[in-house]
Amino acid sequence: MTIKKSVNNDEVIIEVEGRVDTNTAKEFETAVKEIPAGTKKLTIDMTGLAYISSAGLRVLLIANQLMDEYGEVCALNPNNEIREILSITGFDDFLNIVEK
Amino acid sequence: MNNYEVSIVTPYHNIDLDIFKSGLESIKNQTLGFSKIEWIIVLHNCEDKYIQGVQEMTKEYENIKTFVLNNNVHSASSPRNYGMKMASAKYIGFLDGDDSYTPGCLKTVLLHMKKSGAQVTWFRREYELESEKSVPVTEIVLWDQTREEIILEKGGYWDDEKMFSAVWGLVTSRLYDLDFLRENEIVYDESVKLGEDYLFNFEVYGRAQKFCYLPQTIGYHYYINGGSILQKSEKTEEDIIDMAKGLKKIYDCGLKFGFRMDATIGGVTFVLARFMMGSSKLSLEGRQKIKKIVGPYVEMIKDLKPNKIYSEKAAYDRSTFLKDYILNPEKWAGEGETFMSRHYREVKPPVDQTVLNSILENNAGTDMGKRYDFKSINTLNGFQSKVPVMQYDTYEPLIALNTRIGESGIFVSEPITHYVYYTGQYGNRKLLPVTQSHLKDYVKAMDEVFKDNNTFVLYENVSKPFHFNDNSDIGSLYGAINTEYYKARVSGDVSATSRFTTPDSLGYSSEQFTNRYIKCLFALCDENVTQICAPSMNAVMGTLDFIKKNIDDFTSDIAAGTIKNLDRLKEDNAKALLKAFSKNNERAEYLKKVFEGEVTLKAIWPGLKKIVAPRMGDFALGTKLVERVSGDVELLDGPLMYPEMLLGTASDENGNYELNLESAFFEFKKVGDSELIFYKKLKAGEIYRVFVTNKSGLYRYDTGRHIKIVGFNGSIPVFEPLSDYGTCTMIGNISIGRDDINGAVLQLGDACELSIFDYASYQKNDSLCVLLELADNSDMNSDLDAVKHKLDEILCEVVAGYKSAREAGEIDLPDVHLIEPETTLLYQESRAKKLDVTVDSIPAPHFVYNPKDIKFLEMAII
Repeated sequence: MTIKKSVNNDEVIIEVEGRVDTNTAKEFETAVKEIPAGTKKLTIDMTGLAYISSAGLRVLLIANQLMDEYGEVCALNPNNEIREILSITGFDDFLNIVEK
Repeated sequence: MNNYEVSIVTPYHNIDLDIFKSGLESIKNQTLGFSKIEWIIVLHNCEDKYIQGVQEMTKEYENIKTFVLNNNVHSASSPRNYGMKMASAKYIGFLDGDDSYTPGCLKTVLLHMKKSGAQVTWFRREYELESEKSVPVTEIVLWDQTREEIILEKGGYWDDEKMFSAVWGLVTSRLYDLDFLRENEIVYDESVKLGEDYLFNFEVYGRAQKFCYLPQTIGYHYYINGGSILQKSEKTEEDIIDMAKGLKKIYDCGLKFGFRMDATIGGVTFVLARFMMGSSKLSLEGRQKIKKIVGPYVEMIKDLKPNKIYSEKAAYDRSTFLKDYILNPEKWAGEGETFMSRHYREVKPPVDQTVLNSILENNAGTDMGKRYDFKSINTLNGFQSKVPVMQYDTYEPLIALNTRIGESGIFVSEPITHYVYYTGQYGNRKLLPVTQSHLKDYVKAMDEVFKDNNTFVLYENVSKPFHFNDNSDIGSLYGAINTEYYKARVSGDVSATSRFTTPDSLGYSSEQFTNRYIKCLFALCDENVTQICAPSMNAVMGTLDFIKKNIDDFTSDIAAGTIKNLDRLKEDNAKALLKAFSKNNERAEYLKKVFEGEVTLKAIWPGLKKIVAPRMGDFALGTKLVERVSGDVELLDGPLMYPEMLLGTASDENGNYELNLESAFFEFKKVGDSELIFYKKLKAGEIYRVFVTNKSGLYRYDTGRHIKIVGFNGSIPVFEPLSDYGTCTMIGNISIGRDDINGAVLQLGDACELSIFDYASYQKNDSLCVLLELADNSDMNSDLDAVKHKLDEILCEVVAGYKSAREAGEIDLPDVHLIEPETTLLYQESRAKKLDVTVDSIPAPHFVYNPKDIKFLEMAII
């Protein structure tokens, strides 16, 4: 898994590539937790994300909790499989899924 | 000729178009059918942009008719009259431009109206405040709200006191028979500036023969903004005198029909008095004029008695004080804001704490108490014969009246301070009312656990800062107890020897996100922890795992005296936490060493003596795991607490409890029987369903919970709680109970040397499928075939009929899979998120039925 983070004014984009599983979720979690206070929008760019495990999904929950009071969390370009996972788990209720 | 069933008239005056849109949507969404509604919108003295906005929004609908009306009348009377003239349906309602109807409103109300033949049908109005500064104006009533419909008829059942109490005169939460209004030439008096709707209703009530009241139908959504006549604080002298003249007309009308007028004169004139108090421009001469106009009516008021609408002070204000204020203008001239604030202090009702008799006595004045005549109940048998057994369904509409309208006194006289949500695995979120005196027993029980200890508490914090319209908040049971425990600590009502690792600024904060990290940080920093209190043993293990994963962050914070993510807390909280936290390099180094090897709780906290958390049933797997890291630390069950009752206190090391007879009144139904019995008739070895009458207004409430009596301590029953007794999954024709599966998985872990953290199970074709989440990654390479056969063997032993069904080939070998770590926690967290409850409230997915949930869990199969 590789993670790239960029900040654009009050938006933070975390680009996740590869597989987020039990072994790599911690790194993903750290990247999410380090977003600066005052961030209005957190975009998780999933364009290159091939797989996400339960541990990875929990990080998305943490991201949502973190942003609850400040702004929104977007999932950008998840592939069909990941989109289905987000739907089955009900994450699409609170994640803003965006296609670009 | 149209076929409209009802005409709705809306006076519209420069209302925000977004707000108006919600009213439009509510009309379109009526289950009655949009096309059956004629909506007449009278654009009254509007700016052009609003006229255009409304017309643009509504032009495509032929049943929405807009009219522009400009004149010098500055109230809703004139557009309402105009709309009445235009209306063509048999029935008419008045919807304000910033309000809306609930979806089923018109259909329900019309159904009752037609069935009863009433000329007026009354329903309920919930409210929403535009801002915290807006003043709630709500329709609290004296009617028996346990009834769905009440019919009143001239010459038949009639009750002046209930009809004309409090805010009874509103026209919005009513439907009227338009033919009746026209035949009797009833219109709004456009010269009346305050209470014009009361005058309209007095005319209606005076002439109508039949009334239909729907106490449980919440049909009208009232948006309270800062701009209505009642919300504006400052009035001119001329305005106030004009209002007084209008009141005279209202009172004359009520008296003309011979209605009981005390509450109306007291209540409405007190509104006038509030305007007088808030006006700095009211002269002595103005006050004298007002006395001349309304004084004769105020003199008629007898002393109002306190009831649920008026507290003792409010009743005093509207009678004794009001007479003094209106009739003695010289005395009060010059008094202003100071007087108002002095006069609006709340009076808190007394709190009582006894069992059945006192519960009945305290609540005899509630609607429920009057309906079942609590006053006349002297014996337990009398209680059983007069009060029926109740389910949640009975309470659901009553709770909606409290939370949405701000009603009170329906089933409990004491204010409801919290609603505790609870949910089964598949049920929707339900709310159970909780009062302070109810919680006092829980606080007392927890104080027994906390006293003389330094406790690391793993419960959720207090609930979110959200308030219902009855001023209650919502949260988990632990959140409610935590809130009350904190109050008791501040007031010195609990033991002074209790200490906690979590500072008050965090433990009693509603900020949840960074909470877990900071709670653990303070606990790790404190080497003198003597006990851990948790909602379950699994929570203890989950916390230990969390600490392990983040130990580097913890030790660096402890060494440096810093707290990570503090900038996400509110500034005051952050400051208070930093003040309470000090660096301790020695402790940080110690913890680093502890976490280098095999971690035990005793190594982290050498003074740890107890872990208090439920240990048996659903929690037994967690208990087994905790035993591996707890060494000689004692594992104890705490008090057995559910939102509706504090059922028991721990009795022995086998997970049994003594029935707690002091906090509530219990009845029991033996499985298979229909009769409810009292505790003295319980027999050892039998399983019973529990029914409770408590201090929060639940009467003979079916809790759905079961206990098995294992013996007696003196006369006090000792029992084993049966989690989800009766819950089972069917494999072929074989029923497997939840306790059977719990026991089987527990045995399976021992037999196959697996560290099972949690599990999920469900029926798949003709076999039982079990998903195991392991605590230890090293077990991942287990021989699953062997595990399946072992589980099969165990099920043959513990489940009746399973062995013969297997031998006959009716059911297949169980299927077992391993799932990714944290899957069950993810399941609980995502469900908690969906229901907006805390994770503590969501049970583990031990039994899963919903195909979507099964798919969720199967997705995590390794």
